[in-house]
Amino acid sequence: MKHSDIFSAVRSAVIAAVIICGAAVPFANAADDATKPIFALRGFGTLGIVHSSEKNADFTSGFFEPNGAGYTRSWAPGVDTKLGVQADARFSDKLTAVLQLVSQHQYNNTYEPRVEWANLKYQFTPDFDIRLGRTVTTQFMVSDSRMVGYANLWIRPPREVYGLVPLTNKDGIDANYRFAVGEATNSVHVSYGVANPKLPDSGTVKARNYSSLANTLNYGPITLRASYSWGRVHLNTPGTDALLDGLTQFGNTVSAIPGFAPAGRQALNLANKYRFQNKPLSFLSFGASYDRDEWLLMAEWAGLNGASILADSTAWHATAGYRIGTFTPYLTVARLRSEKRSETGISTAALAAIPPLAATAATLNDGVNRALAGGAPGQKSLVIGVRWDLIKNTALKAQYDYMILDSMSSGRLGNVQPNFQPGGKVNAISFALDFIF
Amino acid sequence: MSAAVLTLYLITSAITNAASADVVAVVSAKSSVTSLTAYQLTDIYLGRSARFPDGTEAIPCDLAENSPLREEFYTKIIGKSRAQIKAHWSKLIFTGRGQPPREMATDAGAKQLVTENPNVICYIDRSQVDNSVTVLFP
Repeated sequence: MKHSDIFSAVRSAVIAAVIICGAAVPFANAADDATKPIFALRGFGTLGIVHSSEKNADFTSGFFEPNGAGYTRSWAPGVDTKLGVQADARFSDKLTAVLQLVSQHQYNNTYEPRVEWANLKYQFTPDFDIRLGRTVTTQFMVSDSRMVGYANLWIRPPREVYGLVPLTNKDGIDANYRFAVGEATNSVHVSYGVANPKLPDSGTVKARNYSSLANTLNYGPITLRASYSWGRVHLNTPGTDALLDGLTQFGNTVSAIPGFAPAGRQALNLANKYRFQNKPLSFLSFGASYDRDEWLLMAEWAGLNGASILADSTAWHATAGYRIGTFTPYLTVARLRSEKRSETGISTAALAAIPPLAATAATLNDGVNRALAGGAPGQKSLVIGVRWDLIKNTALKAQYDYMILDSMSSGRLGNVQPNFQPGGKVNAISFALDFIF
Repeated sequence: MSAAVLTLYLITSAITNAASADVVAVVSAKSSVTSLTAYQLTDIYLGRSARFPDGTEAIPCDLAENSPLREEFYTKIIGKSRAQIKAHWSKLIFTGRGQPPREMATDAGAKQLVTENPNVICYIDRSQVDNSVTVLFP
């Protein structure tokens, strides 16, 4: 048994124990006496299934899910299914701790639970707190409840927008301060830390100096939000690493051949330009929502300043839900646009005298342009669904996604296969049962 | 036919409204707070604010989930159904950002809690108002 296996077995045992205890411990907050709970266990989860009409790529939950519905499975449970368990501990009036474990279909094709949040919070005043440890990232309107299906109208937040920053947590420090502005309440949130989640196929992301500033204004049923994040990012995927290593090797080889140095330099320059190391990324978003009585309206706009193969992108969505008793039909329109880029690459004409080198250069050029197209997704969606709050703490949802992919793009689809045709239209249907306990 | 159904619905709901309890938000008469706007009350009950407008700490309290007074308070004043309130608190709970108000089993218990602690705010039936409490809303 490898160390990692033992580790994951222990974690699975812990999560199982936590779930069992959670089932046995009554709701601590329902107590009718004056003592505050010192320990509470709660959880959330989703049982979901998705079907997609595109057979040469997968509809996935995002970059961290290796496969999904379409190519790999006709109906995929992994896209939305998840289980989260949260332990809240209160050590004093001021000092509290949160541990949240989440199990969902992840990079290594397993549902091994991972630590989503683990932090200590010190509440200096009722309006000011500082947290240390692993905390939520705060890019979006529903960042805080991104994984809690029950808290949201949709089965999943619009992927056009939320896919721009797939990171959900960071290790570091954050501070939250709120104050009244007339009849409104304003909250300022700042955070600083690092994140290094794993990607499928042994890819990695490392975000350093990952800083965020978010401001939320609540005025009755209206919420306005703005956030800005920046950081230095390393991104490694086997595909791009192989391409960049190939360019470097080719460049070094060709540069050594008398008379071919310019072509060699072109290859080395490309490798340097697209090496995703310590690149500055920044992200800006604005959101507004209205939630009262029958109506829930929400809109968000977001822009990503990309680097390397990741293009500059903007996205927005507009969502409306109307409550009719326990049913809430909803509609979302969403758009993701990315700056289209291409490279003329290594001059094959300059290498024409040595046909094998010209052929290799052409293959490398093609690889660079494929990577650039992959890093510049574009699509628009129309989403129609209904949420049914059927029993206490449980909601059943059905959702239809109609996606129009930009030409040359696979949009938000993942696990794209060689015979995939870019552009085109994709239909997906999803069902989910969301619950909290 | 549908017009008849609608008329019937409107009449029934008018009767139900007229017959339903009259809910008011109160604090102890010893509290310095004398009134709240609907939005200020909403912020306190949704965990967005832990203070009254004068800066003193505000501790909201709820009645039991099956209480008709609670149902009326949330649907009429806060503008959220029971399921919406559940969804709202699930957002805050699963970030460690807050806990829902403490629940009191009986109306009398809630009123007693209010009179005992000037920071506690709760909602009671207007018929229960006496000189031990101050009505903040409406």
